[in-house]
Amino acid sequence: MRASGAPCQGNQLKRVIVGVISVTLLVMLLAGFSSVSAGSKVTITFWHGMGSALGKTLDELVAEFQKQNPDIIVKAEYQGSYGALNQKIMAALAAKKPPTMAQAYGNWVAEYVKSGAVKPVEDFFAGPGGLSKDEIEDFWPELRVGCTFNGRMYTLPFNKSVAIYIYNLTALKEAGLEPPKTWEELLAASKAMTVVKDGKVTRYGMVLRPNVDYFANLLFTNGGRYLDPSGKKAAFNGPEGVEALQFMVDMLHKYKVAYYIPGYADADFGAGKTCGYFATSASYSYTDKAVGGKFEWGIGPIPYKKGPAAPVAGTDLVIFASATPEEQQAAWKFMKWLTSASQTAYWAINTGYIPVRRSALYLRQMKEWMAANPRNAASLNALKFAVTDPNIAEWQDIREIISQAVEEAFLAKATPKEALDKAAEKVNALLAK
Amino acid sequence: MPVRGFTAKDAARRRRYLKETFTAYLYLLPATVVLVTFHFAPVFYAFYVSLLEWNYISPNPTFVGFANYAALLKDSDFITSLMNTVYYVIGTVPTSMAVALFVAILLNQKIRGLAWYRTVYFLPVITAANAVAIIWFWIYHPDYSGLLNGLLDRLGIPIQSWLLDPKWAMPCIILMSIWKGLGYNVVIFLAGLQNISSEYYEAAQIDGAKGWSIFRYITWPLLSPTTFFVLIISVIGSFQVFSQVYVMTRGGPLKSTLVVVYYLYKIGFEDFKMGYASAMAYALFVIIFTLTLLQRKYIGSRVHYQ
Repeated sequence: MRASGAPCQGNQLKRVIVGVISVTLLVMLLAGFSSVSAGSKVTITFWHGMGSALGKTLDELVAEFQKQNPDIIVKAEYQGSYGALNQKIMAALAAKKPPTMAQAYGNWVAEYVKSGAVKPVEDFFAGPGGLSKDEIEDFWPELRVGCTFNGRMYTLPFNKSVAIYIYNLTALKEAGLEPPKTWEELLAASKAMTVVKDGKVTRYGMVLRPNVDYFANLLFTNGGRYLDPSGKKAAFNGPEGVEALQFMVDMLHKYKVAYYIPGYADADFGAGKTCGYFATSASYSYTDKAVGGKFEWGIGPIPYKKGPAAPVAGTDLVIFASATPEEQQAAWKFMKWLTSASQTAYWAINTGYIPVRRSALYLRQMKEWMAANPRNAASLNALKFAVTDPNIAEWQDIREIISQAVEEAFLAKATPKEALDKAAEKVNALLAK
Repeated sequence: MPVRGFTAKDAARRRRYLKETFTAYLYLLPATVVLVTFHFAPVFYAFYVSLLEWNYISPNPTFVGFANYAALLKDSDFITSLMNTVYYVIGTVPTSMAVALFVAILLNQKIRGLAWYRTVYFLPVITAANAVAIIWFWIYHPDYSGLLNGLLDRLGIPIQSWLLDPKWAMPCIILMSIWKGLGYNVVIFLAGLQNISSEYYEAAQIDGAKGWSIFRYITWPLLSPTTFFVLIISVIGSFQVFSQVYVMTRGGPLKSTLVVVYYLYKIGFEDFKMGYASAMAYALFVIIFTLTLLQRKYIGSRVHYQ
């Protein structure tokens, strides 16, 4: 018993010792791990306004980034509409608890910059994790202008869409017409697609919205701009602007081939009430849903008069000054990755936003997608004519003033020239402050 | 009268009084804390903000004194919003009160399914403005597919573009608001009506009073405290109209439905001019307060309290 028991006891002791040592090692190892991970894992919050399909694509990108960067946790949080996003950012800044980074329009950023709430992205350009001069210049020049305040680059462009003309291809084919390229052809196509029954219009060729964006589409394609080169004086009331507004008013009242609504037009388009409207390239998914396969539809650049132009709008990425340097570094890493050529190409292919870097257009996946989707490619090719909104804090006010002028002309309360002149006066007063 | 000395009984009574007072304040404390934190403090803070030029996030607001108030008087949009608000108040309050009183009198009868009717009338009050808006957008749809226009077209009356027409947008908002707010006034009127003792009606009937004269000489005077209450509350509420405008028109077309609180919201929470928005809030407060005092003075004196 004893003889046989001794080696057994010795074995047991050995086992116990080995066990204790291995457990201790394991605990030490785990403790070491967790202390290491606690030290190097950085959590950043990213507030955005990308709902439904767009949000899904963004989440995919975030997940991919986290896979490549296990030491950074990105909390991408959807805040609702852009209006809600701006309100939440402002409230968070007021409470001194902003997210690490967010999507923001240029005129919002202008307000943040004035209050010293933004960490300029150009602070991260130098060094190995930064951006070279070539890489910076790879961003579309127009978009870079929108990210620059007082001569410094504060933000990076992210989700930018280009204005497009969406049309009912089935109706267009029935009329025996090609997709319109010029204002004249747009008017002709709208006339051809308008259906009148018993003196009542049952289908319109076009729908307009009484807002600054519809006006801008025509202003830009007529060679006009909002402000003169100094940026301190209105230019939209010049002959280009007056013609642009007159063209819309004529579609409504003279030719009666269009009507106008204040809200989004995709529902009316899907219901077959209108055969055309202006939208942005980010609205493909909404149009697709509204049409639901009832008819064929197509997209093209905004028809032009003087020359093609591609009004581009959307938000940029901003890092807030109150984040810790580690968080800011992590946010920069994420931001740089998100706007890199291959990610912006993925983003563009899946959402309809434009690639923010020129080199993305030469990537294999982008070329393949453009070959398979020639109509989307057409709007991307227009990007060399990109025009963006001025990124000044007064921009929201100016948009409202111009929208009001457009509405006055639509309601025939004033001629296009009167309405625009009055608006220009207000804008000049605002810019002179 | 003999002068009484300070007795032990008095001391006990005093102790009890102090204890009760203390208990009362203790009970009041939670509500007071909530009110002070979320109501009174912001009210005073807003006044301070109204003296600043501040974008809500800047660490260095500029003190401008009463400049924001002076600017209000020169702001044509504010004047427009004030006029539109007055239009709205005049459009909603009298009609809404008259209709509510009529409905309340009908509901005060002993009819079948009374509870059901009361619920139905109250439903719009508690329904979110967004949900209500969906229905009313369809009613006011600017072409033939709209409910109202479809009806007009069938009657051979030219159709209107309702919410898109500066002339019609405000009446449209007023009609919808009357419908939405009706149930609230009905419930209060109903409570007032049920407070009137049936003895008065019995006495009047014995004296041979009928329908209208019963209403004129019994119901109307005895209901006057309720009517007065509804008037005050309706005027205050109507001056603060916001959600209907926010969901239906956003102040358009051409500022025809721009009302003070919507304008204030836009300035404060879209343009982030907090000082100016706060000044506007105070201006509105002064207007409402003055009107309420005037109503008390000129109408309150004619109220018949039982």
